[in-house]
Amino acid sequence: MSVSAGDNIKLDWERQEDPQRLAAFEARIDAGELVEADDWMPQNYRVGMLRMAEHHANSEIVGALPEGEWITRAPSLKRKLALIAKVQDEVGHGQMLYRVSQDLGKPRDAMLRDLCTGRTKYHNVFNYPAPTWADVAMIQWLVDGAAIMNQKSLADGSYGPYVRTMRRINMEEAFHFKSGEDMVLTLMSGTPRQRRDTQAAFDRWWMPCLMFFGPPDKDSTKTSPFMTWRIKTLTNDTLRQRFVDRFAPAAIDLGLEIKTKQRDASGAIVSDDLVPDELIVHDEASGHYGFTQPDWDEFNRVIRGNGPLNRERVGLRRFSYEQGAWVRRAVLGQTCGLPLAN
Amino acid sequence: MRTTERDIRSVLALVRDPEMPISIVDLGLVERVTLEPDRDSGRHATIDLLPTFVGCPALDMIRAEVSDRVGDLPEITRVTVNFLHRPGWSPDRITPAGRAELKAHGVTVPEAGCGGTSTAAQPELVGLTVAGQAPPVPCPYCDSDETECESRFGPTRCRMIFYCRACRNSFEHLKPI
Repeated sequence: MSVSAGDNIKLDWERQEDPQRLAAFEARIDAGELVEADDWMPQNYRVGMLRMAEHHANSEIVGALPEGEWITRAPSLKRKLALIAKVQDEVGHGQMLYRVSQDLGKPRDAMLRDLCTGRTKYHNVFNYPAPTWADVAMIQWLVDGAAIMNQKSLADGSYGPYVRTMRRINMEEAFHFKSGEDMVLTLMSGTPRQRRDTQAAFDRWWMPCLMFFGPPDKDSTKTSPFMTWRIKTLTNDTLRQRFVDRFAPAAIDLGLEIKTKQRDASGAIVSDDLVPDELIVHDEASGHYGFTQPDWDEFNRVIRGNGPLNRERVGLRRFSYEQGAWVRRAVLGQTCGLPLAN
Repeated sequence: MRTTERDIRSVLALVRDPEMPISIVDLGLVERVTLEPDRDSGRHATIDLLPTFVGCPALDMIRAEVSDRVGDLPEITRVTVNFLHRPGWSPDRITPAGRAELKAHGVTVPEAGCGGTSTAAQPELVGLTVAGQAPPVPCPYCDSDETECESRFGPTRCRMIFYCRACRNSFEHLKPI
């Protein structure tokens, strides 16, 4: 049984596009013009853009899950109100991004089903748990900070509907980030226990945030046409360095210590125990902060579905999708369903 | 030089809404500015603001910025920022300049008069529809009327998600209240 209309939406680097159309298309991109939904575009541009927008949409709605868990446990009415509003924000962003993706050729229901069956992914970072309120603060400060870093570069991209959506989303993310900063600052000005909790939460999120920008540039294949077409505007490593340059000094100012996994002399990871990252030093000559790379083996494990919470996150999404089926049928008169869970 | 009410209004125009590219003056949040003598020949400024939505999570941030900016003016020794719930804010209060800024950002505003403020004598009814009941809203990008409401619950409390079938962009529409 075919469960995905996305089956035939694949990158195909053997495909020959009409050379004249392709040249005209690339000239428009070079001139900084925006591509619109009904314009001609190379198939690989369409697929690359769709994958990115769909992954982004998935990340927005899965990203709302760890925060949603904390609504009932927020420490004050104000924080609760802000968290409810933020969760609504993320889901609204997801909805606008699914619309962008839909117009690139994949039906919305297929995207929701592919997310539930694990065919499509969302940001790895949401497979990590948020066991304390300090984690909620870290998500809002550090993870949203990483997201802004990435999305600012995407707002300079070439696909009009995505770029316009991104400009609106970025203003809202900047607001979340400011609230997150306030939450972290509040905790770090609190009791010794609050500061300990905050350091522990920072330890849980620093390395997943470094991984947030994707594998090192040498490992990611086939990205260069996406740079030429301005689907992406900065490489993974450039964004990661920007993130470190922005957040390493901010963390130090707040009194947080940046840690990494313990390694031997050859640089191989010997233990999951964390030690201070000795490379976090500002280099006057380059103007950049050094940092130790995260554990890329862990990244590969998590991306393959074996992270701490992959099953729970997808399971909850599947649960809501199934529970909501009657509403979609009633409102949209739609027939929809999932293949049976194994 | 003495700080006047006009000076205060001009610094208020520098305070931006944290989630939209518009100043709080253009958004119509500023209801009243009063200046009274304070001790030590200083002056006490009171700024009365109307929140767009009572549950708006940005109010504290707006309050802090208003306090800081007004507090920096000469002779101002005390600043009080109040959020009033009467009269209720309505999109009618947004200035033409503010409407233009929001439109460029992809956010539309209900036509003047379409909203109307709610008062105690006019009980509020909550619609129970999911989508699609709003009057046509022209697209901020291509001005087409071929638009539809995709969701009454947008990315912020005060906005809905719309979609333009002509240029195939989604945009946001402030809720008429």
